[in-house]
Order: sequence, then structure tokens, then C-alpha cells
Amino acid sequence: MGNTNFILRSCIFLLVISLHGQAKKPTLMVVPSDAWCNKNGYMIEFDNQGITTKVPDYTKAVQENTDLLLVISKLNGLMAEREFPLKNLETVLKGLTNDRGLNAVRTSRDTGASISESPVDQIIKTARADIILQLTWTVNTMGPKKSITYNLQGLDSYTYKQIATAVGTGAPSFSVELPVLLEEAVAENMEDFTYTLQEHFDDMFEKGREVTLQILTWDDWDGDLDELTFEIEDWLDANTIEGRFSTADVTDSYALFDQVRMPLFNERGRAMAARNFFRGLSKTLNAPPHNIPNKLTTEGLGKVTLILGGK
Amino acid sequence: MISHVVKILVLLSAFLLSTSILAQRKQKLADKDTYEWVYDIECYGGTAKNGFKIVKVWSYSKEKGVATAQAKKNAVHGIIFKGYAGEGRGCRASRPLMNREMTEDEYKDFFKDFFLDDGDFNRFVTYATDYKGIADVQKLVKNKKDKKDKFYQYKIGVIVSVASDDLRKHLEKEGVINSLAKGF
Repeated sequence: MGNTNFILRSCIFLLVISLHGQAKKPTLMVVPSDAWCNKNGYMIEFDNQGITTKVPDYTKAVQENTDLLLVISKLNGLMAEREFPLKNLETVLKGLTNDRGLNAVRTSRDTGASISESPVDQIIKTARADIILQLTWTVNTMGPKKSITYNLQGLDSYTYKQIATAVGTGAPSFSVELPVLLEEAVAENMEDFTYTLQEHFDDMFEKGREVTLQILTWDDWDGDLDELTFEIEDWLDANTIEGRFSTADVTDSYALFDQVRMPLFNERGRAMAARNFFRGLSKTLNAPPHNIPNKLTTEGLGKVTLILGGK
Repeated sequence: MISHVVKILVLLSAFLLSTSILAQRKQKLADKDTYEWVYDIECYGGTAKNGFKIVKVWSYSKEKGVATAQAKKNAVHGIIFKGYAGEGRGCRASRPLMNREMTEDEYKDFFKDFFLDDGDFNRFVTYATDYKGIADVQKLVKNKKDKKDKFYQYKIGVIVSVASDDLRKHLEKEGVINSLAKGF
């Protein structure tokens, strides 16, 4: 029975792929974990409204730590071999710096206006990917022996779930240099990582992409969000795959729906990201009988924020 | 005199034919064992280069030669369908490459072509040691009713190296297993 179901699901998957073409491909990027950055001294401290906060300094890490570059390079190579090239952290950081510099000096030839960039734009324009491959390793020393404990976590940027993993401690060695141990750790753990990542993709093709919808309100909006969420739930129930979603939080001014399983393709067979999917909800709320103007903002493939009460 | 020679030739031909049929039958039995996963596979050290796996395969046959020759097929079959648990010698567990459910017909077709004696599987496997990789020979016995042990068959351990990355790529290209990027 289980086998029959599996075969049936595989057939449906193949049919969907053959009819619709290719789903939106998530981007992946390797980033050192906060714990690794902290341990190796790649943190910046800043004063956040009176509270000293530490954030990782990726630029410094990739400029100074050659072991990190080696591991990222090896991971990038192995993933590219599996037709899944990764975004390279160092290149993304350089690209962002270049863009910032260019945008600062761009002016309109007609009016002399400069590039418009909101504070939200500035926050969004950071090193991002749909799936973050968070990397941590520690060197264990026991007498003259050295070994590496390696931890690679695939984290979904929108659901905050760990969707893939590879953890392990390599065999201790007397003489092998650290870069060699690291290279071995990456290669040895890749199989586990891609296996769990593949399971996540299989689940996505079967049950839909898991995305998050956040509802916010402008402070001059006088509607009743609490009541409206029932209508939003009806829309989600009708449009998600098998009505799969969870209402995480609801207040008068804020609502969060997570584990929303959206179809990968629309009825015309076009690949969809969360913004295409929730555009339908945005239009429904904007139209009678609701007549609620709203603003739809998006983060990558999987997170949408609807702000009610205006554009 | 001529009839005598003809008789000898006929007898010789019959003998050769029966030997050949017997050898083919043994090979078929060995293939059937592989098909039905009657073999054991274990990791043999974590010293293989990236993209390769060194494994020890235990095959069963009444003839040493058949079991030894079958080891390569069993190793490739094991890497594709069985995987193995990690243990000592810095060994890590290995998952099977097959990442989808195969129908019986698919399995049959795939097995028929890929695992022919001169089939594609040969491209991805080599003996890892001298003397065709034989590491262990064990005689298996059956305990008869009269309490006397009787030879049953050999259990032969052979160490082989499988080019697992190339094998995976080949199977992905042939559409036998799903690639990570499938559907995107």
C-alpha cells in the first residue's frame, strides 16, 4: 500500500514537472555560524539602543581565514558538481559593497535626483539566500592527536527550520595538517547533507513549498485584524495544498501564518514564489467587500509581509 | 578408425558443452543471488580517495572462482541498493545511491543490461588488492542428520574499490536515480 502510494506520488510529481517545467530554484549560500565567528574573533560589537550587541563580521572572516575559504570552496565545488551551484559569500559581500558605492553616486541626468533607498531596502540588501548552509567546525586536540568535529546545517531562511544536516567527528590523526582534515570532513559529510536536502526537496514537490505570511497594519488603519484573520484563513484553506497552514499568532495589529504549503505552479503552469501566490490574497483584500488597500513586500522565495491600511 | 575418432570428438564436444552449460548455470545462480541481494557488504577503511569507496564484499558460491568474480557485481549492486553501516577503521556509514522506489519491471530491466558480465557496471569497480582482491575464504557447512558436517558452499570476502561519485553521476544521467537538482 505504502509502495503504491509512493509510486502514485512519484507519477504525479513527474506529471507535474512534465506539464509545468521547472520550479523556482532556491539559492544556497555557505555562511560560518555565529558560534564559529565568535570563537575565532570575527565579531563586531555595536551599541543597540544601550545594549551591547555582537554580530558576525563575515567580511573580516573571509578576508583573514584561509581555512574558511578552503571549506567554502570545497563545499561550493561539491554542490556545483550536483548541479546546485552555491552563492559565494565573499563574492556576494563584495557585490553588495560595489552596489552601495555605485548607488551612492548615481544621479538622474534629467533632474539630478539620487537613488531612492529606504531603511528597509538597506536591511534587505545583506548577504542572503533562500537556504543558508551554516558551517561550524572545531579542532579537537588530545595529546599529539588532532581531529575535526564538523557541523553543516541547512537552514530555511523563511520558516527558520533546519532542513538538512551533516554532523560528524573525523578519525584522529597524528600528522595530517588541518586543511587536509577539513577537506576530508567536507567530503565525508557531503553524502549525508545532500541526502537530507534531497528529502526536503522531495517533500516540497509532494506537499508544496513551505512559506510564511506575516500580516502587519499601518498605525492609522482602524480595521479589525482579529476578525479579518478568519477570512484570511478561509482564503488559505482554499488555496494552499490540502489546506495546510498554521495560524501562529493573531493580535489586533499583527498576524503570522506559518507552515503555509503553497503550490509550486499556478493554474497556467507558471512557477510561483510566495509573492506570486499571496498576490491573490492581496487582491482579494483590496476588492469589495473588504476594500482594504494593502502593501505586499517580499523576502526571497518564501516570505511575504502584507501591510494593511495603505500602500 | 574414423568412427572411433568421431566418437571421441562427439564425447569431447558433449563434455565441453556440459561444462559450459554448468559454468553458465553457476554464473546464473550467482547473478540470481546478486539480484536477490544474497551477499554482504561492509566498509573497508576510510582511506579511499574522494569519490571512491573501498568495500569488502562477501559472496556465496560452491565455486571460489564464481564467488570471486561476482564480488565486483555485488559491490556495485551494494553501493546502489544496500549501502553499509560505518564501523572501526574510520569508516562512515554509506547510504544507498538509489533514492526512489523502483518498480519490479524497472529493477529487472536495469539489472538485465547494467549487470551483464561485460555490462556498464565494470566501469565503476576494480579489485583493490592482489590476487583478484580475495581477502578471506570460508567454508560453510551444513549439519546433517547423522551429525556429520558436510561442505555446503564457500563464503568469499573480496576487497574492491568502487568509483561511487562517477557511478552516481552515471545513474543520474541515465535517469535511474534522482539528481539533487531534478525538478528545478
